Amino acid sequence: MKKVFAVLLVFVAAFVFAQTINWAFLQEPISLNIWDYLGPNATVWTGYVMGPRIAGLYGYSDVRFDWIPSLAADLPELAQEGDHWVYTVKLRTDVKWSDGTQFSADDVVWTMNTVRMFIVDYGLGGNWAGYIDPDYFVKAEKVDNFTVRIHFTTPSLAKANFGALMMPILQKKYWEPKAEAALKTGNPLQTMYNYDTSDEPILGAFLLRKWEKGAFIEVTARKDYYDTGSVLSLFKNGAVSIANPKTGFSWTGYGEPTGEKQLELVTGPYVDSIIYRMYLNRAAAITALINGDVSFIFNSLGLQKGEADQLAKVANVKLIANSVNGFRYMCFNMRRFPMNIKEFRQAIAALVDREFLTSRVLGGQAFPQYGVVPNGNAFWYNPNVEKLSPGYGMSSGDRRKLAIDLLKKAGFKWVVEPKVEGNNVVRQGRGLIGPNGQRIDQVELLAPGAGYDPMRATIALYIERWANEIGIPIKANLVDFNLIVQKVFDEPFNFDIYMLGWSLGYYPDHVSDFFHSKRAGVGDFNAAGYNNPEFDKLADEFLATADIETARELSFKLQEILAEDVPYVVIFDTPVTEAFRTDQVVFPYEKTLSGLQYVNGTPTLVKAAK
Amino acid sequence: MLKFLGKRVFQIVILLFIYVTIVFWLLEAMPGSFLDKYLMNPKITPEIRENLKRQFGFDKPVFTRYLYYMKNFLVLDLGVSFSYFPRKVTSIISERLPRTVFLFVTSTLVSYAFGYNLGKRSAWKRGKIVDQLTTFTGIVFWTIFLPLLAIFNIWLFGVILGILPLNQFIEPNLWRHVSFSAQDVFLKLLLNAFVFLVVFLAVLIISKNFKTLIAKRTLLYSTLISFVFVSILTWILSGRAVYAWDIIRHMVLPVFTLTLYSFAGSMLVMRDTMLDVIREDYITTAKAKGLPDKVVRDKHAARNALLPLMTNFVISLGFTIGGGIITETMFSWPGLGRAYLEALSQQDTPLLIGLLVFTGIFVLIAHLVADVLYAFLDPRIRY
Amino acid sequence: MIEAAIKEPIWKIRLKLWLRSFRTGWELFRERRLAVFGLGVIIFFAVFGLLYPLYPTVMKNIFWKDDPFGYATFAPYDPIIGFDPDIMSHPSPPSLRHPLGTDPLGRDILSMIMYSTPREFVLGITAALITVVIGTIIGASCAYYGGVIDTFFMRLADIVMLFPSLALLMVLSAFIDLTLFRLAVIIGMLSGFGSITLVLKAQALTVKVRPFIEAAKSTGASDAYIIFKHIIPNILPLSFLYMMLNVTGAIFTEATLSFLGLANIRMSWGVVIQMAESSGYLMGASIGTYWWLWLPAGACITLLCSAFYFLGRGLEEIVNPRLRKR
Repeated sequence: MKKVFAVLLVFVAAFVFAQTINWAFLQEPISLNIWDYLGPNATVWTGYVMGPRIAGLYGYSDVRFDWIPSLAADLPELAQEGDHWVYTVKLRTDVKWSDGTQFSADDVVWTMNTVRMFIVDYGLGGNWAGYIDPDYFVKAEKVDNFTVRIHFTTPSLAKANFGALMMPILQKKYWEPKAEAALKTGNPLQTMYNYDTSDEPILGAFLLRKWEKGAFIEVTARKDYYDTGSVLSLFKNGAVSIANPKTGFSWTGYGEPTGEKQLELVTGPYVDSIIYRMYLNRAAAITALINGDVSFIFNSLGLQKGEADQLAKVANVKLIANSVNGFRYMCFNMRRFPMNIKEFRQAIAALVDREFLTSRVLGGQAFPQYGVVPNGNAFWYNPNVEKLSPGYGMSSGDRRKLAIDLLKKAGFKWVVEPKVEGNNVVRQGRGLIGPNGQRIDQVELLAPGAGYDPMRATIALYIERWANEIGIPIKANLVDFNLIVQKVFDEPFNFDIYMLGWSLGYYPDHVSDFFHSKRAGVGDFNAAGYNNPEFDKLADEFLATADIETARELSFKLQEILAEDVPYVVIFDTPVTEAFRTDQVVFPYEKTLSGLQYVNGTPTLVKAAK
Repeated sequence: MLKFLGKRVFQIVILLFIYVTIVFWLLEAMPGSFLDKYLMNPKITPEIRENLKRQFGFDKPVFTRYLYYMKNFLVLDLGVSFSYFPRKVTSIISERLPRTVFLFVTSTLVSYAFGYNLGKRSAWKRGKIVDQLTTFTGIVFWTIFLPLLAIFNIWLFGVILGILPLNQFIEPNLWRHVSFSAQDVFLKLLLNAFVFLVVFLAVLIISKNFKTLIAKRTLLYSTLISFVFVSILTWILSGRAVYAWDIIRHMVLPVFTLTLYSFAGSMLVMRDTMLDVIREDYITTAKAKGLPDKVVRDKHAARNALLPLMTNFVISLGFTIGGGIITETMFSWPGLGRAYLEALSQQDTPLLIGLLVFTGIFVLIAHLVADVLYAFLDPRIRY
Repeated sequence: MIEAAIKEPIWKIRLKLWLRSFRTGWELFRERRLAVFGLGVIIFFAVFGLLYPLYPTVMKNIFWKDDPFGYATFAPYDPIIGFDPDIMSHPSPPSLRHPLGTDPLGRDILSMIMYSTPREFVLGITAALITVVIGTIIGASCAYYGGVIDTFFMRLADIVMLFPSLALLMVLSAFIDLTLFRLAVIIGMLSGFGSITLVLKAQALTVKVRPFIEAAKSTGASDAYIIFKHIIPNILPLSFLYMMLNVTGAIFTEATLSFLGLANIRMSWGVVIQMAESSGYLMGASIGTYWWLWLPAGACITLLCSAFYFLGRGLEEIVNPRLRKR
């Protein structure tokens, strides 16, 4: 009887709380403590739940990733003062914390300076450092309640605009006493990480309601969210406008807000609560989606082909595919012979028939990538890169001929020279001899095993075979991911060629990080050991510029240099395929870089279906 | 006997130390470390990585870390997990433990009871259809690849028939608005089961003093039934019955799958030893005395064939803590086995050692209990 | 004194006796249908595996006669990097070209299974043999000698049992190139020193206390003689059962490791299933639609493992005369 009553209660509750949506996670977040999340314990799952809780002075707009004010009232003003460069930012006056406190400059100043203090004095690590780089960020100071001045040693898009000016702001009233208490303990950082933040006032739209460990997390919408009703308009001419009818805040930028609109979004939230359910295996989550227990599955890697096939047959489930911001690649160890010879690298690059691999071998589940900036990153991607890649658009026979010619040009010889007729290798090459007369015995290609990534494993085996056919003695070793990492980064540089992948941020400062000669130390990002003074100069200019158009031009040049020199052979990536139930949720848009999961499922914009 | 116990306990302690040492050095030997995942993040420069290294204690040399760990281990401080930093390992284990224990002890019990029953019956009717059929079915299920069986069962009962929940261990909609956590209910359920066990054993011992079979049976069944009745009543009155039932309902499919999968093991061992026992003289005597078939089977043959089965049972109980990684994964049951796999793939050394040590203690104790039980049941064996 | 006149040489008599007991054993064996079934299945798989090299050649001559270069480039029947470019969408259902269909990467499933068969045999039998030999000797010695030897091996067994083999194997696969053979040896040794010694020792204990052991001792038989001629033969039936269990265990352990993506074995039945799972074809209704991705491999595992089982049970009757019906 009690059970029937309880079930009835659940139904009534479900009716009253009709606007609850259920989403599926494949792993549980670690902790909702932001110090921990941006410190040592960043996981995408924690990010999905944390994302909607936090806000920074500036943020990315939906879909276009324009750099727009979020807590700020306008774009910053930059001026030099002595040996500092100061960004002056005006803050919005209409923002309220979830406990009713007014958001003000105190919060901003306290957050930035405290994080810097923790990094410098206590060694706070992790993603905080991506926001505050003590070599660039000096301090933040308050001018009045709604104006801050942020001091940098030099202007920099990377460190300022896309760095400190986007970092999450915490409430001073809540955190200052806690931080002071932590500083008195023996291990301040650990104390900070350990704080229970379920009562933390936040700027985001969703408050934590209940976390049943191992099972689910429930968040509920703030009734007093300051941005409810705010209209974001993206214009085709590049302009952006924000208008909050409730509070009167408005902003326009990047041109005149006239003409055709590309997109218009009204911020909610439109649902009362969201339940994130934890499933430990994919089949379970997908079955739940089919059954209607959940409306959307979060997964940074997207759905597998088999899963997508299955879901395509289910009524009321819609599949969407989006490009990703990342790529999978091969990296040469340019400190070793023969990888230090440009033509050798180019020859191998010429052999890699990306179109064949992605459309035939991988059955269309992957798409080719050519440059170090993924083509999904529309603003920063240089479309010329494709044409500059060796072998672009060639048939398989021409590729092989090109590779042989490149090797010959550099002075390579064979004991048995390979011969290509048409598209076939009629005589396999053997015994490759370098230009210095040194015989090349074996070049090792380290790639992840089939258990970790069958795509990379298969591609490595194909590259091995193609290279062997024309006499390049590559041997593909499929090993544990950790072993690759150890050999490359810990040992160090104990590799010939390796194959891994990167997941990137929107602003492409990684182009400098991965290839600048000063990043070629042990454990640093330039594992290839690429050393090009011309590149270095351009990269330094790129990092130092404060104008986004200049930065874009410089970035294009950098990409072209890399396409010629091929320290990396960027090969492919997989689109992220997602699925959701159209009878339960409606998303504001479906085309966005790296899919809906990258924007945390747009919780303030998603609506429950009628 | 006491001297024997004392010696064994002493050996267990030493074993644990050796074990922890081996585990520690083995995990250190694994290539890479927990920090490697930061290498994949372009935003984290080498200086930041140094900071993180210091936080996790990787800046000290291996041997120092080892000694530090052993020092903590002595006071049963299992350290702080890497992947759940900065939660303590003991807190993670204690969160997951009730889920695993409940699921796997139940499965082991059901599976062994089922196997015992089938085993004694098929040994008795050896060679006939019943025997062949049960052996065949048992072995086929034993050799089915467990993930396939799990997927199939979930599909059959969860999707097609829709009578059992798909996975996870609770239904979030039911639990959204309650103030207590699933942990509470788990612990109370465990407590309930434990008390039940104690009562059961007590009644068994008492019933030995009764002369007639009927009296024994009446006592046994009446006590058990009334206990179950009282338990259910207590649950309903406390208002938590729905929730306990929710958990139990979610357990049905995993227990069922595991039982199907493993009953053959206990069944065959039971059958074999019983076949051996059947040849013994006292069985022939019992039959000659004209005792009813079932009595000879159950009271004489089966009881004596219990020995290896008991050993097996106690030992597998020891392993339940390790849990079934596959079962927990396929059924979204976040217990120790699953924690294990995750810790292993992230090289979360403290958590791994903690889990292994925990399992180790249980296995060692189970082994000890098995030995004692053996001597208890077979008077011919003396230490 | 009566002298028996023996006309034939001793060795001939021994041979005849052995042949006769073999024949009796075979008669007994034949009667147990399940055991014969098991033997049949094993023989079938053995032949199946040995036939592997023929398969691609046969298929090549039937379907690829006019495209030898295409065949050489793609090696459509290569179990590891094969790919059939003439079929548009992989995985494809069973067809004449691919009797068991293709997997998501375009590889022929029948060749994957055939290729793995001899390897599974090696894996299972090696591991099982090593386990049983080690376990039996240790178990018997512990039971017989007791004391320090007993304690040492029992504690060793404890340590080995404490180790979840999964952990150790995964660690090892990270820095040793784990071929199936090496995996088999490691599994064999791990199990050999582990729980099997406990069970065999328990059984040996019951043998040790029997009167004939006392009798043997009092007639001056050496320890080794007693162990090898009396104790071990009496625990062999249980050993056999466990040997069959261990073949199953070894094959399963490898399949589980591959399924979880922990080992880097290039091809085995477990890898076939893992590929199906990681591509998302193993759930919901896909189980039925894409049955060829998991059913052949799963059925092979089940068939071979249960065959060893049934075989073991058939053998135990022969070895242990007390279990015979007559």
